[in-house]
Amino acid sequence: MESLGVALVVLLLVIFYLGLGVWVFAGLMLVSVSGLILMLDMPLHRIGTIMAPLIIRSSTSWELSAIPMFIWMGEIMLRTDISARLFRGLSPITHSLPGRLLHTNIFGSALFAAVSGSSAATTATVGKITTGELMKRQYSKSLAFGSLAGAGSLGLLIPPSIVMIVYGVLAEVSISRLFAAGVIPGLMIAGLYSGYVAIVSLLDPSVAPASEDKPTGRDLARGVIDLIPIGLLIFIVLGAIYSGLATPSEAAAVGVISTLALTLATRQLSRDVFFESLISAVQTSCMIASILMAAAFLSTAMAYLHVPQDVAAAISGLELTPVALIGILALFYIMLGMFLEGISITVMSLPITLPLVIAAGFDPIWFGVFLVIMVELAQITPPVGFNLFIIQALTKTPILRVALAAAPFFLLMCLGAAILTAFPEIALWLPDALFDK
Amino acid sequence: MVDALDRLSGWLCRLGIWASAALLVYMVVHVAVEIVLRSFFDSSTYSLDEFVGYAIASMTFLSLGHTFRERRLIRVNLLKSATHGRARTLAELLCIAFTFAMMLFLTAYIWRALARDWSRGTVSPTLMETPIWLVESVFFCGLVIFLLQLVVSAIQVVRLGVEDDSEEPLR
Repeated sequence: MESLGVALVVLLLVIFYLGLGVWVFAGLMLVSVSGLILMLDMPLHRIGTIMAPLIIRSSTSWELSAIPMFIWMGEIMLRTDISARLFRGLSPITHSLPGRLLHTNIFGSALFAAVSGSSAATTATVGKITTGELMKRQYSKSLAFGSLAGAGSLGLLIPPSIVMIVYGVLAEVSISRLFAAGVIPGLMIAGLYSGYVAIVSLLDPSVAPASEDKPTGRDLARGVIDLIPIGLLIFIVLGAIYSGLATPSEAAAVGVISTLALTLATRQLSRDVFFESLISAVQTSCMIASILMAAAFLSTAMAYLHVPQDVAAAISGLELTPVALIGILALFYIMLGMFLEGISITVMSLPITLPLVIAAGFDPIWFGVFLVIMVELAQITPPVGFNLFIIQALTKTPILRVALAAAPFFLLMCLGAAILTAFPEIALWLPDALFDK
Repeated sequence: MVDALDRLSGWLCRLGIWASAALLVYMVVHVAVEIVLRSFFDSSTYSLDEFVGYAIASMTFLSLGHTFRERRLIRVNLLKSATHGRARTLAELLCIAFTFAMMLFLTAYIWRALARDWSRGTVSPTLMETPIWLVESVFFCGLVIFLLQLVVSAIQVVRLGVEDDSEEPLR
C-alpha cells in the first residue's frame, strides 16, 4: 500500500471510533488493533501477545504517580477558601491597572498554575469566585469569561504541569528542565493577556466599571497576607524540585502533604473534603492514565505500520523550512484540539511529530513547551474544550458565547506561540541557566 | 435480576475505587518516606520505583469501572449530542460493544500472562522479587469489574435510554 495511504487509513479509523463516541482510551486501542489487522493482516493472537505486556509495562511507570498526586492537590484546594483568598489578595493590587479586577483572572490563574498541574483545576478554582464577583460589579462578560478561559489554561504551562510530565515520560526528556522551560513563556502569555485587557479597557472604560473605594495601604497589606498560603505552597513545591530535595514526581507528594497540612492548619480539612477530593483525583487520574496506556499501544502499532517514518518521509519530501514545518504542525494541532483534549492530542501525535521536529533541528525541550501551548489552545477551542465546559458550567452561559469570548485570547496565545518560535530562548534560557547544558 | 446485577456491579465498582483511593494515599506516604530517608538518613526504601509503579497501574485498572459508571471517562460527544431517540441508543450500544470487545481481548491476554507467571512462579527482577502474578491479578480484577459494568451499562441503555456525560472534569 502507498506509504501515506496507511496513515490515511489510521486517520479514518481514529475518526470512525472517536467520532462514534467510543471512550478515548478504548478508541485508541481499537484503532491500533484494527490498523494491525487491516493493513498488516496480523493475527489476533500475535496482537494480544504484543499488547498485554506493553500495556502492563507502560502502566507501571512510576513517574506517572505525579499525575494523581498533583490532581489531588488541586482537588483539595478547589474545596477550600483558596480562590476567595486569591481574589481578596489580588483585588487591591489590580485596582490601579486599566481593567482592574479583570486582571484577577489572569494573575490568579498564573499564581494558581504554579501549584496546580491542571488547567481544569486552575480554571475551576479561580473562576469559582472571580466570575460571580465580576458579574456582580457589571464587568464585561466577554472579557471576564475570555480572560478566565485563556488564563486558566496556563495551568498546563506554568509548572508543575501534568501535560509536561506526560510529554517528559513519552519523549524521554528531563521533566525538571521542561518545568523550568515553561515558566517564562507562561508569564509572557499572562503578560499578553493583561496587556490586551488593559488596552481594551482604555479604549472602552465601560468594560471595567469605575470602582467604589480606592484601596488603602491597609487593604494592600491584608491582600498580601491573603496571598501567603498560595505563595507558601509555590515555594514548597518548586523549592523541593529545584533545591534537589525531590524529583518533579516526588514533589507532587510534597505538594499533597503541604496542602493537607495547610488546610488542616486553616481548619478547612474535613472528612468530606479529604474523601471527595481523593475520589475525584482517582477518577480524573484513571481517565488520564488509561489514555496513556492505550497510547503506548497505539505508538507501537504505528511503528509496526511504519506510519511515523512514512509521514516523516513525505514531509521531508516537501522540503519545508523548519518554521513552515512548525506552522503546519500548529495548524494540525489546532484542528486536533477542536475535537480532542490535551492528553489525547499529546499521546496520539508524539510518535509522528517528535521525530519530525527533532530532525528539523528543534530542541525537544522547546518543542515540549510549544506542544503545551498547542494543548492549551485545545482547551479553549469548540466544540470540545474543557475550559469552555467549565466556564459554561460555572456561569450557565451557552458554550458558543464562552468560545466567542475566548477567541481574542486564543489569538493572543497563537501570537505567544509565534513569538516562542521566533525566539526559542524564551523557553530555553531558564533551564540552561538552572542546569548544566 | 438486572437490578441485582446493577447492585453487584455498583458494589464492586465502589470496592475498586476505594482500593484505588487507598493506593493513592499509599503512594503519597511511600514517596514521603523515601524523601525523608534519602535526605536525613542517607538511606532508601529500595522499592519506590517498583511499588509505586505497581500502585499507579493497579489504581488505574481498579478505578476503571467506577470512573466509567460515574461517566468521567472522556469521549467525543459530537454524535451523541447530534442524535436522539433510537439512533442515539444504537450509537451508545455500539460504543459499549466496541469497548467491551476491546477490553475483553485485553483481559484475556492479561489472564494468559497471569496464568503463565503463576505457573512459572515469575518474580520481578528487583531486590524485592515481587511475584508478578500478584500484580497482574489486581489488573485482571479491575478489568473484570469494568467488563461487568459495561454489561450493566448496556442493559441500562436499553431499559432507560442514554444518560448525559459529565461535561465538567472537576466537581
